[in-house]
Amino acid sequence: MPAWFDAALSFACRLGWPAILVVAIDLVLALFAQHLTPYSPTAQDLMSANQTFSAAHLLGTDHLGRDTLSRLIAGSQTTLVAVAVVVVLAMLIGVVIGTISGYVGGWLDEIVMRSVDFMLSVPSLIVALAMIGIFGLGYWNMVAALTIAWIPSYARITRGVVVATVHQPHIESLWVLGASRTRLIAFHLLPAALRSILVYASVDAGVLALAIATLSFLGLGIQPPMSEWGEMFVDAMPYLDFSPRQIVLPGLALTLTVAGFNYLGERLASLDAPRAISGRTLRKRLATAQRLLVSRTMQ
Amino acid sequence: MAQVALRRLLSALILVAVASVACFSIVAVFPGNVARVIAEMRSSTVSDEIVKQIEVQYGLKDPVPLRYLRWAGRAVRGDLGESLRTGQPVAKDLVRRAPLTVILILGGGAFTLVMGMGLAFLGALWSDSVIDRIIHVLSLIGASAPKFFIAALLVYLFGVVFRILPTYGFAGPASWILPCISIGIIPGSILSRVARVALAEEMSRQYVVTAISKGLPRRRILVHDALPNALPVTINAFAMHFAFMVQAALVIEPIFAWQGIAAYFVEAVRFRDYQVLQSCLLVFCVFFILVNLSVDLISMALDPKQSRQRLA
Repeated sequence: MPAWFDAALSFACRLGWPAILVVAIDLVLALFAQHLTPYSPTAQDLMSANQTFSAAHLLGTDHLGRDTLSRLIAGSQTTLVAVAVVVVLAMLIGVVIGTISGYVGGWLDEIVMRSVDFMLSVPSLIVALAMIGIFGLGYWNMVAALTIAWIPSYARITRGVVVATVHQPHIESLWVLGASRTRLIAFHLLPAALRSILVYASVDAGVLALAIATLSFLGLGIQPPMSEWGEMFVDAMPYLDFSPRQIVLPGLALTLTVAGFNYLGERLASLDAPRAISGRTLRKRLATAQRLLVSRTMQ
Repeated sequence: MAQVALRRLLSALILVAVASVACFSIVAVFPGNVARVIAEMRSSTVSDEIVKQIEVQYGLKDPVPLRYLRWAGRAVRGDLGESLRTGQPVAKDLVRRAPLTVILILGGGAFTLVMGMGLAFLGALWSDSVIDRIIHVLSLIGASAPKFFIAALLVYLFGVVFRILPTYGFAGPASWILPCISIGIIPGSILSRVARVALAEEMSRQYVVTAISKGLPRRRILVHDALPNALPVTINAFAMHFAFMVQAALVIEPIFAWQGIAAYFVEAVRFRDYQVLQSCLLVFCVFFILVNLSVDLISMALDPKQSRQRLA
């Protein structure tokens, strides 16, 4: 066994297998969706509509005879691509805004952070919906709306890290040594911020997947004929009485994906940050330390 | 105490003003010609003359600050303009739809509070019992399951399998039960965990050890001492979930075919009816500010430390 394999294995163990498994399956499905779908996700076959589990259609068909399994797989691709695009865009813009605001400081920082606070005090889904109301419907309008709604949190985190690091001795000594402003920002402030931002992004991916599904559920996100879990769900709602399978399957897919991202993000955060421990744990540790100290001095 | 409350009230008023500017600027950043959008909504044939006429009618050529003042002045008097799509006064529509959303959110809030506090209290009463495990599982599901999924499952369970509750429309208290549970069950399960942790934290403090050593029963300590001390944390967490119920209402109202304010907002987004859009946003913002204000005041009144200071 090479050493890196052991290291990767222990890292995976600390992250938790179930979360990794769920996210990995999602990624594989999304990457190879075209090759994995047994049928075309948009092919209608009205003769075999609303079928239940069978050998021909493993997870059955919907009211238009489209294969549910194929649509679920195609849906994972739609969701993950949209999530990735929004996270990357919001991260890029948010990091730039946060870094400038934190580095420059003064009235600019004040104005930017007040508006960020204001946007964060309104639920992000409502911000995204308002933006869709302005831009109109459509895939890229949805992506733009979600990006705008998601920028503030990234700007806030980046700004926090930048403000915390900019006055640390190592940055100040670099400044004294003559490092340029660009160099400071690019090589010293950004990498420090990136760590916490990446951890945040992994939790955020789950929240974002939920938001996309909710928008599609309302008919304001991803439009048919593209497959998306929220859109599959709203399609199947009228048939809830006799075919709950059609809402349970996309619902479960979404829940599992979100849970996977949430869990992964939480574990990543707990690996990274000093753990917030409860008062009880703290007292227990203090007691242990005291006992050790006493036993040392006794010897 | 009264002075602090007054200061909070003033800052809330300022916040409302800021929120109204933000809601109004949505029209200012509206891409394309607003007059043309309105004209296209009215009729299929749009000439430049009609567009100009609408510009004059709505005063769209005036400078933005002037338009804001005109809009805000009318909004204060309860006139939020007309819906571009239906031509109905927005304020009237909002008042007509308000009871549904208010019932949904208040009922959901009550359910959240009862479920969260109840589970947490029972869990603290018999610690490490089945209830603790239920709280754990519920909070895990609650953090990841989409609200419309949970709502649909509840509809299936109570409406299709057991057939005991109406699953559609707004007709009497029986039809309120399912929507209120649907909107409250996820925040309720998350709140139960928050409250349980807060209670456990309080029960591990030293004053509890003192009380136990003096011979007080555990149940009495829990009700008399730990519960009041754990309340502020719980109330704060509850307020956040309560404010965010507007977001959940966006999904829950369509599922149960309720014509509330959230459904009105979604409709406005779909048809790009900016007049309705900005009015709904303003209503939401005022609601958020009110919730925050009342939570500040309530937790001030509830916090044993602060009330003790008042006595001293």
